[in-house]
Amino acid sequence: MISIRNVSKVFRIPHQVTKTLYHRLTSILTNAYEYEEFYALRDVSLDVQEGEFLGIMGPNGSGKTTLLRIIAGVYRPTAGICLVRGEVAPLLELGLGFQPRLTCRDNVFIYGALLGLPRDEMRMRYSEIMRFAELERFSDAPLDHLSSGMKMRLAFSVAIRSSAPILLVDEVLAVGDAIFQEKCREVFGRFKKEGRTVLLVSHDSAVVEGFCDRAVSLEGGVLIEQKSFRESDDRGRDHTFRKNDGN
Amino acid sequence: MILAIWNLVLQLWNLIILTMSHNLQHNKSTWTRNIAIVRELAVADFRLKYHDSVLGYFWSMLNPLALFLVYHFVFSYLFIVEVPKFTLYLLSGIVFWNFFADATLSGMNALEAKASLTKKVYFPRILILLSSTATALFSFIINAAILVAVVLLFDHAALTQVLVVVPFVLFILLTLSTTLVLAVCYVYFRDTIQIWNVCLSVGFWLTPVVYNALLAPEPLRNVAFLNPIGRILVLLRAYLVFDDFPSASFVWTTTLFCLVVLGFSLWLFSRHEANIPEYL
Repeated sequence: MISIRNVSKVFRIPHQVTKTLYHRLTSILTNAYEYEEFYALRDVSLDVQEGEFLGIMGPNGSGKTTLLRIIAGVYRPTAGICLVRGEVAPLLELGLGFQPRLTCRDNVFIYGALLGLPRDEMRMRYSEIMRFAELERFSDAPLDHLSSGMKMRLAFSVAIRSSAPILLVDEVLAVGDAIFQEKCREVFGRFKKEGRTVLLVSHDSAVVEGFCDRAVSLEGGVLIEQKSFRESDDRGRDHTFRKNDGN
Repeated sequence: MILAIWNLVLQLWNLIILTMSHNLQHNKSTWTRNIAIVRELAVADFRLKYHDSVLGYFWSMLNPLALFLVYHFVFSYLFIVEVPKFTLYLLSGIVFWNFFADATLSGMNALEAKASLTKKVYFPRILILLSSTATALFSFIINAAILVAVVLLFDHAALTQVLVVVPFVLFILLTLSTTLVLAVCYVYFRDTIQIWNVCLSVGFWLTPVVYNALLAPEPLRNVAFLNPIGRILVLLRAYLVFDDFPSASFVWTTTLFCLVVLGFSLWLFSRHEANIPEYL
């Protein structure tokens, strides 16, 4: 489903911020046109099979989100290739594109469109979504009036309607109370039964071990470790391996 | 150097291997999805801009209306300009110019507002600008309908007035092209909005919106005739108000220019599209 080959992503960190034409012109005059290169990902190769639950772990700034963004097609890799077969639903952030001044109803449809849900289906499922979020009474209230927990419930109820075969989940489980986490667990169970491919980013190794068939660890943009939790469906990717570029 | 070549070879090899093992499918569902995104973004912009009410539209009309009344007063009583049917001449100019200014500026603002969105979801980035243009187009269409109604009711009605479709379409394409080019500039230079505001103020007087290009002094006259917006305004007024027909070469060169600019802007935008989430 997903093939990543020797992917590197380099960000330029300018010594001086030149975000305006004015700055650019003055920086030419003062010859302050230098930047440093920062490798967010360095030579990462990874394959994800259909129906696999892959956990991605690593400390902050290790390149987890950059990797998901490359898979989602948001960033273009500096070097290497990332090929994805099948539609990707990036649940990188719950409540993406929410407009606080618009009503819950409007926001549900905006979020649905961004996640690639067909509008007809959204119309049909609208009341179901609101019931699942337990927010039926707030349909026409501005989103501003909802508590942050309510907003998250609303976003989650929409997000799980996604029918995309590949789901990218970034730290969704980290937020929310126990009831919310329980709901997440149920939904992941359903995804697994349906044979969806899920890439789950988390700090919590217990969560990753609980859900995932396999986990990879990133550190400083380098894929340092792969381990498998399910012995039964190992096909040549059974052993833990280390990869080091000397960095 | 050797490393760079090796990297290239590696990439080519990977490309061959991977494209052989996968066949990328561009299916119909991506299209319907993109259309849905444009619609939802445009509806959201629209609701935020017009507060979902007819009153909201009247507020958006207030600015061009005030502009029209002020210029009408100034150039009918203070400095008298020699333009036949000055009211219609001015009204058509203001309606068109207002759309141009509104659409180009709101394109850059939409890009800023949707910056975080572009970092999280992939969708063709042009959709942001298409939907912001669609929002501006909404008030333009109503204003233009009022303009046409005024002409038909108070001036004259003729079958050849159907030809106004040509300047309308050309103008929308030209505005969209300008929006795309500015959007690319905005990604790299955040002060494009300020610079563009100055350009709009100057451009307003380089375009025959309120004055008659034929009677303008020599250098300004040439600028006004070379200016594509000026040319489209000449076409519009010729077809809608004056019932006279510019030469075929005038129409063709204007059309060709608009299409070339559109092609260039689409090419430029697609070249820089991938940088939007990183630089914005």
